[in-house]
Formats: sequence, structure tokens, C-alpha cells
Amino acid sequence: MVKLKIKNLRAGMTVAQDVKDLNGRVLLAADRRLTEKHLGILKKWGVDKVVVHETRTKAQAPVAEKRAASDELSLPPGIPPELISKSKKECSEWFRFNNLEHPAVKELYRLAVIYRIKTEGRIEDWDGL
Amino acid sequence: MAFDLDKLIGESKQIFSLPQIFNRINEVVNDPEKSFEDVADVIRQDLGLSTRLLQIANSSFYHFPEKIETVTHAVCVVGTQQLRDLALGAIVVNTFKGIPENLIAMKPFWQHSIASGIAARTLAVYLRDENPERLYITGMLHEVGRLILFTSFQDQANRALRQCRADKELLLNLEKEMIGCDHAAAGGALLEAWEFPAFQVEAVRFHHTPTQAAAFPIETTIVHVADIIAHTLHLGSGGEFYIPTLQLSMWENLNLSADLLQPLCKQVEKQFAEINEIFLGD
Repeated sequence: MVKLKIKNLRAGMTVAQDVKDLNGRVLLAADRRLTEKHLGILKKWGVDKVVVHETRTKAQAPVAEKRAASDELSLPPGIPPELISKSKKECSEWFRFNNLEHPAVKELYRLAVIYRIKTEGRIEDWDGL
Repeated sequence: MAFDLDKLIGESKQIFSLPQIFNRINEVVNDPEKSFEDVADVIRQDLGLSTRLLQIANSSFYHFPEKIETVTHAVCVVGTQQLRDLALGAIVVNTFKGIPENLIAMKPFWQHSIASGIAARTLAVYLRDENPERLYITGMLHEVGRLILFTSFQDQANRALRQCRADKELLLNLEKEMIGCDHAAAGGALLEAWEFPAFQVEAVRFHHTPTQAAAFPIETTIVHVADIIAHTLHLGSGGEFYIPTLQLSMWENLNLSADLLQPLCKQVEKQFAEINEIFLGD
């Protein structure tokens, strides 16, 4: 559930709680789907914010989630494939104690591969003990 | 033999004693009758510290439109609490400067610490924390426990370090197994003995187990995530080869989108170059 301002509401969203005007009169019952007409009515009655269910369609899903779903790294072109696979292998090893299925971890892994490639050859390793 | 944490902390306080200026800065900041000018006076007594603070005040942390040339000016624009936090962090880093390189590679260690501090500060800014500097310092100090473990238990620590690669195990777990105490517990206890604020003690103590942070879960999670960001960017090394496990439920609690991680990393990378130069340039 998320509380949105009127200007951020769109037709098709589902109201999560009863929407009331200032006097407590119910304008729209919970679980109704918003239409353009409803939006006009809410505006007229001075409703400021409405609690709606979070319905993220595929098109609205954040970039990282979409990327995670497709398993791609979005690397710039021109990187030797052997460098990519080497970096991927190293990073997978570093992440062995993490759940790579989680979108945030997946994004971190992607960034780790990118930074690994970026700084290739310039990293002081910690083995020198 | 049971591990004696009090003994370790007692010893460590002897070996790494904080200079007097540390307490004087705390006193003057906490005294409501003192002014900006008084705070600046105390800081000015330490030339090295003053220079470092001015460099930070002029860095991309702040992007002030004009150059800040005096400590008083820095206190005014950065804020008393914030400048205090920056000063205390710089003093602690200095206190550990004398550790011999054969015990622990100090440069990568502080690089990891600086990167974690910047990541913690940036996360705090994203989360609209009122004083992100205090998280910068907490991130910066989150691994200090490792320094005292490596100083007091050289043999065990070095064996743990070798074994974690051979066994594919987190150093954190081997510390517990071979020394009897991990760096998070040791670091928390040291900050506590040094009378650091409670949130910093808790955030350091539980930076690998943020679910146990009862009083300051958000701050602790920030440091937890910041450590992992520093690992992701592979900036320096705190000794841990593998990336510690991200506690997913705590990450969810921060309510941040995974999309934020890329700009976050970019920012950390950029500021790291600058702050690294200030702290380790000479």
C-alpha cells in the first residue's frame, strides 16, 4: 500500500482504504478501481491524498529489477569477452556468501563486475602479507 | 580458555591512547556556553588536524561556492557537531598510524574504511539524515576492531587470514573460531571504552548482524550496507576477501530502490579519490 497525492494518481489504480471527504463521508469505497471520473470527483471534494495498492505493471518496474530479470549486465561495447568472463567469475566468487537472486544483490554484482573491468590491472591485492 | 574482551580492550587502550585534544574537542562542543570561536580555538591547536579539516571542508563533500580558509569559517559552514565528528574520525585514524605494515596492510585497510565511510555518508544523505558526518565516521571506524585483534593476536589473526582463503570462509567467522572474538565485537567494545556515542558503538558492534541492533537499526544497517558497497567497488581491503552477506530484511527496511545503487557507487568512487588523497596522500 502506498499513499499518493491526487496529482500522482492514475486511472486504473485500486483504492486500498475508503476515501473520505473532510466530513468523513465516504466518497469511494476500498478496493474500487479508480477511473478518470473518480479523479475529478476527488479533486472537487478537496481530497489531498489517497492510499492505493501498489500495482506495478511490467512497464513501470524499476530499471534494476528489469535488468535483474533479464540477467544482462548492460556493459559498454568493446570489452574483450574473456575479460568479462574473468571478471564475472571473480565477482561470483566474492559474492559466494550472498543471495544473487535478490534484486539488490544482483545489482551489486553487476556493479562489481563493471568496476572490476574498469580498474582491471590497477588494483592492489590484499594477498601481500 | 575463554576469550577476555575486557583484557583486550584494556591493553588496546594502552597501546592506542587517544590524544588529549580528543576530549577537549568533545568538551567544548558539548558545553552550551562555548561559541564557534571556542571550538575553532581547540581545533587550531593541532595544525595537522586543522589542515585536514580544511581540506575536507573544501572537498566535493560540500561543494561550497567559496574557498574555506580558516577553521572558524569551517566550523560555521560545516556545523559544530559535524566538524567535531570529522575531527574525531581524523584523530582516531592518526592514532592507528603506527601499526607496522607486516601486521596488516594499512593502506588498503584505510582505503576500505574511507570508502565505507563515504558510502555510509551518501546513504545517510539519501535517507535525509540530519548529520551524515556521524555516519561517515562510523563507516570509517567500522573495522577498527580488526586492528586491535591483529595487534594483540598476531599469530592467530595471520592464520585466520590464510585459512579463510583455503577454506573459502568469511574471515569474520574464523576470527570468532580462532581468536574467540570477531572484529565487530572488538571494535564496538573499543568505541564504548572510548566513550563514543551509543549509536556508533551499536552500529560498529552489529555491522555484520544488523538484525541484532535494538536501539539504532537504521544507522547500523547503513554501516552494514556501506561495508558491502566498499567491497563491491573493491576499494582497498579491510582484510575480508569475500563480500559479507547482505541482510536482506534490513536492506528492505531502508526502503531504497536497487536503482539507487549505481548512482551511489558512482558518487562513492568520485569522492573516494579525493578523500583518499587527503588522508593517505602524504
